[in-house]
Amino acid sequence: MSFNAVTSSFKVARRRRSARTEALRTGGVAGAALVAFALIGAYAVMDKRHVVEGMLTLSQLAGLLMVFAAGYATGRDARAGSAAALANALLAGLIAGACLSLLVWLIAAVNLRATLIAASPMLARALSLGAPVASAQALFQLPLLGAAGALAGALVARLPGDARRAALSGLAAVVAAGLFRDVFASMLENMPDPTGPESEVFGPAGINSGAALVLFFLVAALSMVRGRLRRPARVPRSGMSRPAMVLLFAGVVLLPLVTNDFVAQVAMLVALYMLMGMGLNIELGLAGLVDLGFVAFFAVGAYTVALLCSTGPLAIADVSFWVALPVAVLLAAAAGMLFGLPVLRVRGDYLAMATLGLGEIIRVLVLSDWLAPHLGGSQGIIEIDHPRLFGYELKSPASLYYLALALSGVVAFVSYRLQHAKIGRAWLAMREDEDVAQALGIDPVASKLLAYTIGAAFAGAAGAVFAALIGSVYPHSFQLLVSINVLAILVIGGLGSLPGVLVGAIVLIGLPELLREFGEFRYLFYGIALVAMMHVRAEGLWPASHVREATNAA
Amino acid sequence: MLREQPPLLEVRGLKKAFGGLIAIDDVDLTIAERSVHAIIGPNGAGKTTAFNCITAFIKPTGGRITLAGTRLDGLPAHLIARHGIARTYQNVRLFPNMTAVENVLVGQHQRLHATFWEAIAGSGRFRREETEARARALHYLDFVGIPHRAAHLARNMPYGDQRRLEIARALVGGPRVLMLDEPAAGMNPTEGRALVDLIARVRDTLGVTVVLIEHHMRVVMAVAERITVFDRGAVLTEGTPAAIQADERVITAYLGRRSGKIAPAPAAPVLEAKIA
Repeated sequence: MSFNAVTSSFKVARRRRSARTEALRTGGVAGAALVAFALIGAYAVMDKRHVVEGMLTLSQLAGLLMVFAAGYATGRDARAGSAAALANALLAGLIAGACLSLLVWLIAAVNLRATLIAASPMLARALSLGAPVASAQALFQLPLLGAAGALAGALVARLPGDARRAALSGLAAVVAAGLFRDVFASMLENMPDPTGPESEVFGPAGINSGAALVLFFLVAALSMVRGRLRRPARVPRSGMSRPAMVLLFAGVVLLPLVTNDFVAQVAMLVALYMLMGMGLNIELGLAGLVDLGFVAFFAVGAYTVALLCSTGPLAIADVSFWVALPVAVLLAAAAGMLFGLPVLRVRGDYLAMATLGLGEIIRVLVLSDWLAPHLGGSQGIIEIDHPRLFGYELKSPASLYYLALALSGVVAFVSYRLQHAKIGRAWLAMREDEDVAQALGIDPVASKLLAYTIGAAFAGAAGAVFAALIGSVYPHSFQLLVSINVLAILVIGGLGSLPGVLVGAIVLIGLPELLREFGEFRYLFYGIALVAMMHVRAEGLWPASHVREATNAA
Repeated sequence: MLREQPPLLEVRGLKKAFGGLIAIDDVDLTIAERSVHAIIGPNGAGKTTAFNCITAFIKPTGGRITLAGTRLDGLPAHLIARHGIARTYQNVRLFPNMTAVENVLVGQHQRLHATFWEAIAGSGRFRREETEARARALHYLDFVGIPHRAAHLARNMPYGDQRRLEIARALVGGPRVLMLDEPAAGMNPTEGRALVDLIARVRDTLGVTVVLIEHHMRVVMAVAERITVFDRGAVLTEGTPAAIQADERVITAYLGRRSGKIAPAPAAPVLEAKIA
């Protein structure tokens, strides 16, 4: 409940300005974003990665997307006529590019590096796009490129519905193919065809320019055809169609088989976070308990498996993973109940504070002199056996991905069943109005405790898989950041929505892993994504059904 | 007119103080089984406070509450509900982001017995219960007259329907006493008449005792068999509608009295006209 209040308070009513002023403002914002993008060092780092081979680097693409978006937004302004809208977009793009030119000129003229480390000659060179650094050509081409990008955006925005959708789909396909070259290239590599079309479609870093063109038109054409076919029955549907569901399912299952180990590793991480996300979804999404100490139960699960399955000196038993897993789940659940008893009597924001403390306690306990001899302190516990199944050792990322996926499936099933039973309705009711729920005979402490315990149990399962995956556990794996990540997954995906957890985990865990260049900017990206989400889609990427209905009706 | 029944709900010496402010003091209420009992009184007389104390929404400072001989005071709200007291709220308090059916399903919490494990396993009993619960929810929506709203989100429903939904949610748990806090507030005369009819049906078909706080005198006089008048945190008087209408003190309580002067002679039409 308090969380909804927080998310809704971010929604700012936009004042209406004239179309021209709005365009100027949009251009300024895009320019500021470009300058910030360059100054935090992201531009220089991402410039090393080619999206379209030999043509477009990741940072150039990001810059172009910014002006494209600015142009698109300006072009969408229905108040201006077509010509005026295009002119406005041109203006916005010019301004955005000019901001960047100004930066290049500044870098060349003044030494900014004392305060702004990223404002290096290298950045100036990269931004000059091959022209002599800070030459007139270099300074003039940026606003022109900006204007071109924005114009393209405005043009697309002005296209009729079907064509616009086609152009955007084509563009998205090319960008996705370039960005996730690793995934697609490894898929093509695994194709039975011995010659392999990979060399033609993908270069060593990104998609080849010819292939990009073909892909763009192919996807755009497909989108057009699909739009034509869809036309007669344009009824709003809830959720996905059956074929789409089957396709998604097949993709999820086959993913590690058709790609390489790196992608499987990423998929494994996504599945792990999904597992945790579904645990927190019970607490936060359904029962409305803001839990910032979620990582504590993850740690309990991981350490349980470590102690029970390790071959190292700290092990207290040497049992199979399949014995240790239920023990880990039970212990995590017990820890949840134990912790829940004192903290669940507090409400809302105070609960977040209390759980925050609890999460840290576990980590500090592991590091303490008292428990260090048993849990290894900061040295952790190593040499944890991999799980075995029918004599086959689950060691490869792909096999562990399936383990995590199978557990996620079980957890999703349990979540779904509980959500549609008396207890799930009680949780939702508690989230909506605790006093009224109690007056209807719902015991608030008992149902909160149950939510907390189940959430903890799911986190324990995730921790167990984590220990088996890494083969060792260290206290530094259980930072507050893990709790925050899981929370962010829920918020991005949509609170209380199971598919939302999947979407959130892919966006927040999968994408940054696949885009290694994002590495150091990962949390910046999180921050931007969260703030943007609160503004644009506070209900999440895949909202729970009741929220979706509410937003449609509103 | 008033059927003699053993008292179902008895309140003795109920007191609530907010710090130094005494909201209600020494309130006695006796609600007969299968009666419709109205509580009236000027604003701030402590009617809703008494409701809140009985349903353990707030903790009374003192007093005794018994339902059919069982002591209720000191129990938490969810146990009061399980003993058979359901209520609605002065400003409608539904679960706004749940549909009407879901709201009514939550109201059945205490009627469903399938365990947590049965829910996960999807046992026969669980599935049977869920089907029954859904059917019962639809039945009660029909009973209060909003069957067509079943799939609507509570917050998107018109105000009058929200009030009805709140009554359905309270009734579906199978209470012995239904406590309505100003059910007719914001209703037009037509809706008021429909409400009177609904309250009568609640008592006659479901056998539920109804206690209501109400300002609309037309509704009160049409539906109540017994009326308790609150004034300044205490019970002023109690009686049949006819007796209350004739009671001089009631009119004084509502209209005030200039110091030193004696209030005008009681006249029922005046009371009705001034308050309704």
